[in-house]
Amino acid sequence: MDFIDKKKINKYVVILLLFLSFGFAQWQPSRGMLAYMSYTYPELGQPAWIFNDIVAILLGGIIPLIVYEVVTAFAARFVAAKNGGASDEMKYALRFFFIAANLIIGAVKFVYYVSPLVTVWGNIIIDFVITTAFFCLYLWYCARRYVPNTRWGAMLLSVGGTYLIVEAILTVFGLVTGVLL
Amino acid sequence: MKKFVAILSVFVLAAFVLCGCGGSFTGGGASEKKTLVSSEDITKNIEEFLGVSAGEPDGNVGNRKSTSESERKAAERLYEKYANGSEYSALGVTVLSETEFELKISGQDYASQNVEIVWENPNGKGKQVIIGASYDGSYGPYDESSLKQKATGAFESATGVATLMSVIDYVAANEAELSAKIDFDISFVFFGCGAYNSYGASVYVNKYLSANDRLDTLVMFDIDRLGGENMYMYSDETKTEHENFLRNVADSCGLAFGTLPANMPIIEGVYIEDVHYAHFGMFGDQAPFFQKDIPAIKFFSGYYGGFNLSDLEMSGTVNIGGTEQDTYTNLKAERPKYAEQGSDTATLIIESMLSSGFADTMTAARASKSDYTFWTKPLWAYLTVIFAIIALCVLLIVIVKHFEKKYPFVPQVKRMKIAVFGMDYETKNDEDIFIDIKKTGNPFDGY
Repeated sequence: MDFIDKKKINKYVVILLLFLSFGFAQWQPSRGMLAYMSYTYPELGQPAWIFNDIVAILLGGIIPLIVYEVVTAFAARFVAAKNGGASDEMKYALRFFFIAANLIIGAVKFVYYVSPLVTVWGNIIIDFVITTAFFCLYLWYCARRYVPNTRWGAMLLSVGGTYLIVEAILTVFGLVTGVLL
Repeated sequence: MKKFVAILSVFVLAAFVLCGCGGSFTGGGASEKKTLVSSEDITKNIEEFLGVSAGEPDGNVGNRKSTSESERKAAERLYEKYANGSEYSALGVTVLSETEFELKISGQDYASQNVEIVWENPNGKGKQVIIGASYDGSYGPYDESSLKQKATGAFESATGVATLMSVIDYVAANEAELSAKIDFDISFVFFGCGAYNSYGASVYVNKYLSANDRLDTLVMFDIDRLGGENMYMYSDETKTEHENFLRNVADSCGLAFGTLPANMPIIEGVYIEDVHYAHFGMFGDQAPFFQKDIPAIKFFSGYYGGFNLSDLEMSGTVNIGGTEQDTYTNLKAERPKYAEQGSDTATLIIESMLSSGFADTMTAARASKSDYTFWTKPLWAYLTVIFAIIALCVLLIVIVKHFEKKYPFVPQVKRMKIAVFGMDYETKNDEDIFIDIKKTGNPFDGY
């Protein structure tokens, strides 16, 4: 993992890869959104250059990337203020773990082609389980690389706690908008 | 790392290749295609419905926009044809006043109507088959000012109407044969407001069919737009007995009906109750019947599974349905397969009803319907995630406490002292921080 420790890849290249990975993870919902748009607006003429899988991947990455960067910007400041330490390095490393998680999520969602019935549960459970698993790996990675063992507890509480709070907010938002309203 | 990237790339590439895989098609089981209703019948009926003449090549029925006067006139035209036509004396036509319904759109009240024709089988045992098609036009957003007179909804929905009319013609002409071979009634319903969330079909199944009528309905056939690239048949998200039955019949008659491809775009949202996703196959008049546990099959045409994610009629061309281009002239020029597909659909419906085991299969299909609503409603998924987050929070606290105990953090307290030459300064240690206070001017002043 030298390329992470030594920041061998330019930060903006990593952000670009992260954007594409988010697009891959959200590819299936994004396809559906484009399909619905083409159905609702027949006057557009169903141009293939708009309503295709490549545009679906690119569109699917926009909002998750914005949410990710905003949340991690605030979270990094909070963690640095609380614990000090290598917050920049940790922020840089986190992107790689999310890239890996998103690639796995996007690949697993091909199961929708076998059975569309799992789509609803899949979009909720797959994202959470895989992202959480990789986030746990990230915490372990940070503990080994960036944080002395006397600060493990504080780091886990601030970083892990922030992650769980964000996931809880996103889940409750989904529950309210998708089920209750 | 390189191996991982290589494996993942192969996987993704394979997925892209497989993405284009379309559904399978029936029709390979016969050397010659069976035809009970000819393409000419379909053409005759669509021209009659649209009011096509030498002077009006696109017809005089108007755009038939949902709840419009034009839609009402189309309903009256259908009613008059079947109520007063001598060749339809064996059929009963429900008066329009008994099939009317009201709806509210954007706070305003509107009215529409279905047209119901019933063939009561002299040898019937109380069961029925319902065959339906929307007769309104789907052009334009719901705004009177956007109407243009040119579009007549030829592709969407006159092709379905013409096919249903042809099935009615066949039943009327072969009543004796049918009553000898089948033991159920057949209801033919032209639904109003089909373009408005299949409102007419919803009213029909919820308001005009009693609970017993719904139980006595063996199956509902919905005939949607015809003339697109391929013909499809859709019944449910899982394999069903009634669709299997029809596919076997289609195969034996040499009729090509496809299954939807595996990579249909999945739209997040509710179209069918308790199913929190949808795709193009689900949209249609069969949905309200499906929601009432009546086995239902939709026949429709289009092009799915290619690069374009849209609800395409033909590959590589712009849709005409739902636009001002949906005229009879354009239908003949750009969707010429409508008549053949109408003929195939009508033949399949009739042949299926006449096939041995039809009623038993439809009855068994109702009993064996899969209940997958647990998986298609997101509530329990969200609750599962919330419980998991709570559990992880507890686990996190336990782990944090464990590490705080195992690797206690002892903060280093540093004392600040004034730097004075002497014992303290000479024996300084890590806990001491010395601060040197100097006067301005000569640094040796005061020393």
